[in-house]
This record gives sequence, C-alpha cells and structure tokens, in this order.
Amino acid sequence: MSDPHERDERDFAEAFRCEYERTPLPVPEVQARIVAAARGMGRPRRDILRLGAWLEPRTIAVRPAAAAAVAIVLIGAGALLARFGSPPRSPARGTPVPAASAPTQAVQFVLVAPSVNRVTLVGDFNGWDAAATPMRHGAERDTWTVTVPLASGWHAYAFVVDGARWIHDPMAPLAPPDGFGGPRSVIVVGEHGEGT
Amino acid sequence: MKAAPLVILFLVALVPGAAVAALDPRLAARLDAETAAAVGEVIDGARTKGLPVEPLVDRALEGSSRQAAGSRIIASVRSLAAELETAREALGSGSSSAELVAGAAALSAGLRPDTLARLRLARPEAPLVVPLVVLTDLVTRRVPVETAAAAVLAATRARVPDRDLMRLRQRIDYDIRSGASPGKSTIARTRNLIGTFESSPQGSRQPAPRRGSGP
Repeated sequence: MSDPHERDERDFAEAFRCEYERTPLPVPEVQARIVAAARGMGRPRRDILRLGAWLEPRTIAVRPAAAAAVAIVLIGAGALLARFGSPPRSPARGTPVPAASAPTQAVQFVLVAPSVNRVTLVGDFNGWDAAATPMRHGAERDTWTVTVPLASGWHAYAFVVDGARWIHDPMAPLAPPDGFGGPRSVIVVGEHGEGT
Repeated sequence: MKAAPLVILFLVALVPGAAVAALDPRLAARLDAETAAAVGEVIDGARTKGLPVEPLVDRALEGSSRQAAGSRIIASVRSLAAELETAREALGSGSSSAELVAGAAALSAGLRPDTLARLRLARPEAPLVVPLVVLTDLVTRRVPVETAAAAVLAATRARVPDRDLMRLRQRIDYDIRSGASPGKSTIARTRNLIGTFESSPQGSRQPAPRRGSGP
C-alpha cells in the first residue's frame, strides 16, 4: 500500500495535468485579437492610414524641373543616411548606456565571492564586454557590488571572476544555455516584471 | 509625369542607408568579417520579418566575449532568430520585444510553443515576461517540462502576482539546493501558493488546500 503523502502528491500531479489540458489552445486569429485588444491595438484607424488608399493607381503631374530637384534632394538624403544613419557605436567602456527611448531603472548587482581579486559584470546591456563594468568590493573583500541603469525589459547577464571564470547570479533566475557553454542569469526590469 | 520614376529614385536613394544599417558596427568591431557578414544576413532577415534584432546582436556579442568560434556564433544567432519567430507565432503578433525574448528563451529551454500560447490565453491582459522567466528557470533547473508548465500555467490562471511567482521560483530553487526532487518541490510549492484548482472537466479528485511556510 502506498504512502498517503505520496498518493496525495500523485493526486495533485494529476490535477496539474488536468489544469494544463483544460486551457484550450487559442486559434491564431482569436489569439491575435486577444493580444490586440489587450494592447490597445484594435483602435479604428483614420482613412489616411488605410493601406488601400496608398495602393490605388493614380497619375501625378510634376514639372520636370521640380522632379529633378526632388531627385537631387532624395539622393542627397540617401547619401546622408549612408554616412550618418548607421546605429550608434558602443559606448565607452565603463559607461553602460541604455536605449535612449526606453525608461531606465538603476539596478544594483551583488555577488558574494570571497577570495577573489576581481569581478566584472557582463550582460546584454554592456555588449558582454568583460572590461566595461567592474564591480567594487566592500571592506572585507567578500561582497562585490555595482549599480547600472537598465532599460525596461528582459536582460541576460553573468559575472566574470578574475577575468576568466563566468558564473551565474546564484540569486537570480537562470537563462537556458545559448550554445556558448556558459551560465547566464536573467533580470526583468520595469513594467514587465515589477522590478523583479 | 508618372509617379513611378519618382518612386524608383526614392528607393535608389535609400539603398546606401539600408546597406549600412545591416552592418552593425558593433559586429564589425568584434567579429571576423565572415562571421559578421553571416550574422548580418540573419539580422536582415529578422528585421524584414519585423522581429526584434537587438537580441540577435547581443547574442553575437556574447559569443564573441566568450571566445566562441564563428560557426558557433552564427548557429546560435540563427537559432535565436528562429525561436523569436516561433515565440511570436505562439504569443501573438502584438507581443512586446521582452515577451518575445523571454518566449524564445523558454523555447530554447525545451518548452513547447503551445505552452506559450496557453499562457497567453491565461493572461491576455498583462505582460507574460515573468511567467516565462520563471518557467524557463524551472526547466533549466531540471524540473520536468510538463510539471513546470502546469505549475506556472496554474499560478498564472490563479492570477498570482509576478512578485509571488518569483518567490515561488526562489523557494523551489532553495528546495532543489537542499536536495529535494525538482518535480516534487514544484508541485508542493505551487500547491502551497495557490491552494487547489477549480474543478476540472476530467473529474479527477482535487487535493485539499494546504498552506506551508517557505524558507
């Protein structure tokens, strides 16, 4: 006869399975509608935004001189885009700069690591640059901290100990392996995760 | 004068800008030319599909920092691009970039797309980032995929706040470090959190509510 506690757990596991299965899979169209409604994307659009209005064939009368001027301006704009329109370069080392448009939040990272000489923070917020964000140690040299501004959203990160050993944050959620053979942790910032 | 020549001129003028945008200078600075070009192609494809591309750049930079071979970096970036696309199909086209990245991580951990779709249906009005992060963490800690999926889905349906979901994750982690079975800990801790489920159509016996204290 099985242990009552084990039987109880089996019942609960069965309830788990039922709970999972009783959530029906959404039909894609319904799912899209749900998401659109939830995100306020289902608002009626103004006529000017109707795609069809832009696709209807029509003839436009333009003076040759005006057309030449427009062409010159467009080619000039293209050249300027080619020269200056590329994404900004990485910030200087030690200066993690989040996306300008996203709200940021100061986040303190802490690692308890006695008997090590150097710890740096790497993550998607500093280009995974092991020299960009050194952590400071306290008087007893066992607790390492650094505070960085992070944009709202999902971020992966890790600690680099003594310039060589990559370790995950023992207090944070894990990210799955990414094919490079090292541990990663995850932090969720802002409205996506209530500052978790 | 017809509009077509103007349109062609406009497109021609934009070509140089588009070409430069594909070659992110961060990639050029950190990867060899061949790898940077291949990663750039993947990023171009993702951009065309309307997927977020910054996570792809980040993945390539991470590979560079970890001194991974170029072929490995390309494979990892391709894999992430595919997971982002699958995550969007499962979570819906209106999903945020953070949700797609979290969803891609969940898929990479071994979760099925239909689990992501069920989560979306269970919580259409709020971000799914934290449930997806918790789910991914549990599976990465060797909680059986089906147990983890059912636990997070149940907690999400029960409207457990994100903060409590993260505490649930911490408690399960604590149990696992203490030597507990990942699956059993997940079941017990979830039960402590949400009590019991509503009656299910299969008519299975429902466990009695039980409250316990966490670490």
